[in-house]
Amino acid sequence: MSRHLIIILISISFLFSLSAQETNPTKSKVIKESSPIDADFLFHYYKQDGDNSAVTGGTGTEKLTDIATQIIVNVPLDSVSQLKVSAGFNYYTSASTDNIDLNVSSASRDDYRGQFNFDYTQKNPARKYYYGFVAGGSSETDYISISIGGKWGIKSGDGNRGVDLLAQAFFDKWMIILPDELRIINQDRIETDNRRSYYFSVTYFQVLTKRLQSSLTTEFVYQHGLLSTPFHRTFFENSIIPKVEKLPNERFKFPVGLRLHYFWGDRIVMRLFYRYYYDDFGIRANTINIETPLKISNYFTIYPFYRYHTQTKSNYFQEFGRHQITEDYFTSDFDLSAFYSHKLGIGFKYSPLFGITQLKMGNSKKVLNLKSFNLRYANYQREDGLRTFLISTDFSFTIF
Amino acid sequence: MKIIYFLLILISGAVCQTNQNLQIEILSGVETGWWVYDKGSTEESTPNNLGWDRTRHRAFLPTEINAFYKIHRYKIGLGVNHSWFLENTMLSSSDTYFFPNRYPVSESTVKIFKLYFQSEIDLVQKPKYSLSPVIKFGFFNIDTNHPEKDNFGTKSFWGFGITNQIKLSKITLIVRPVLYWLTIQPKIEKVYHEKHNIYSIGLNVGLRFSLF
Repeated sequence: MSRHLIIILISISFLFSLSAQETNPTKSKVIKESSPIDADFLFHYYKQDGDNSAVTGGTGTEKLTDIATQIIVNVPLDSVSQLKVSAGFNYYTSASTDNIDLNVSSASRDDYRGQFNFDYTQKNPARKYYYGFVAGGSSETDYISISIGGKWGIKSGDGNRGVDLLAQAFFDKWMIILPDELRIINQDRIETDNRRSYYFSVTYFQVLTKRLQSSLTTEFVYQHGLLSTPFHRTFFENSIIPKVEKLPNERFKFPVGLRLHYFWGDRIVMRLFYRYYYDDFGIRANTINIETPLKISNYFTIYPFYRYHTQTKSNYFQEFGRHQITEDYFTSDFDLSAFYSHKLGIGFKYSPLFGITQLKMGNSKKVLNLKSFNLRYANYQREDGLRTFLISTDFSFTIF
Repeated sequence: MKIIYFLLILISGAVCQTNQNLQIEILSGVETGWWVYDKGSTEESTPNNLGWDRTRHRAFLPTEINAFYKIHRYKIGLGVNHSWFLENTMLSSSDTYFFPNRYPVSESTVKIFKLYFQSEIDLVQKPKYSLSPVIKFGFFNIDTNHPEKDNFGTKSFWGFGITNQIKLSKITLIVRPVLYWLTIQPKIEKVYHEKHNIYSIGLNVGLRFSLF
């Protein structure tokens, strides 16, 4: 991991040291003291239930509750650059991971996850382009992950079309936790605890008419290393002894997405999104998402949304007890099965022109303005019986 | 350890007498991670088939002192770090709920002392804010009761971080997410690819100032 990281870090450092020569701080316009800082406080509560847990070989409870909080702060450093920092924390309880060992309600029942991200953007208004870099990290009981990347984009003179590029590399280190009963049995051992993922996306956007905007995004993802989950069991025909899920150590993903936004008068926007997904595990997927924000008044917007997803199964998936012991790769994780799913929800946004409320910050002249409030509810159902429920809030603040 | 801290401050102070480009920083924070003992393989081509012993995912409490010499956008320096790893047990790869197979690695905490070289580059320089990736390489000492400790050979590590420098009058507030990867090679490799790895990720916060 270190060798790859060093090469990427040095490359990025070199690139940015070159580009930074154009942006001497003394030349860039220093932002006025009153320039606003945006801060978003997000919270979500998520609950799921189903009967196809991969931990118990594609059968058994998938009950899970997740509570998450996140803060995203967007700081304009001057008139041409900004820094976005986000940090989040999740706490979840999972009946399925509780089955890793044979003791119900053990330590594997609940878990924490922390994550942070940086996103720096430097604009060049004269040449209509920007560049930036992103970095992040996250940690959970069984993994540590870091990511680094760069981005670049350019717009046409009138701003009606442009291209955005994003490249990221993720370096994950996994703790090998096997199902309890498979720790003693001498079977194929896990060969690595590394997972590396390389992501590259190209987005082309174009304003087609006064009312219609479009964008086309192509993504390329290459992963290698430990792509299976070590505590997932797989059961075989004519055998009562399970094995640990085994998947190839390379995966290539290729999603393409088309987005259309149609402004239907002053009060309704139709947001359409379609995505085709291909990977070399054998999954082909189609997703369509429709969201229609409707402005009820100048301050209040409701936005119902619906998502339909369908996919074919992976070459390596079989249900509980259907795999043959002779197979090289096997999983009973229903995320890799053939299914269709529906997601239906509604959101509410309250955003008065001058904010909901303002608060003076101590003795300073700065004011904290609660700019808007968002409430979002979603319900998800999958063909195999997985049902989820999500409610989330977003308090959006501005400091000026 | 105290001697090295003292020496570092003394050297830094001496250099500072003649140069304003020398910066000192003191940091502390919290990290989380684990220690894994990769028991290697009896055959060279199939690494790890003897399994992995590991600690649980636990917190590290670090404290560190760094000295940097600044040349334009680049900084090079030395540092020392002392961390307490809040774990005292390692779980064998055959550890199960009904048949526990665990062994102690310390009486209370595992203590790790690092000495390293480091380099930082300012990617973003604003009047009140700078952002700089930092890379560290060095060696460490570990205070542990691990049964294999007599066979511990070279102990080296890599560290990566992103330094956020927020200027507050004469001093600078440092906020730095970090990742460390420590490796212990055995003195005598009894099987192929045997080694220890300690991973941690976290956030360090501290102050940086120029001495002159």
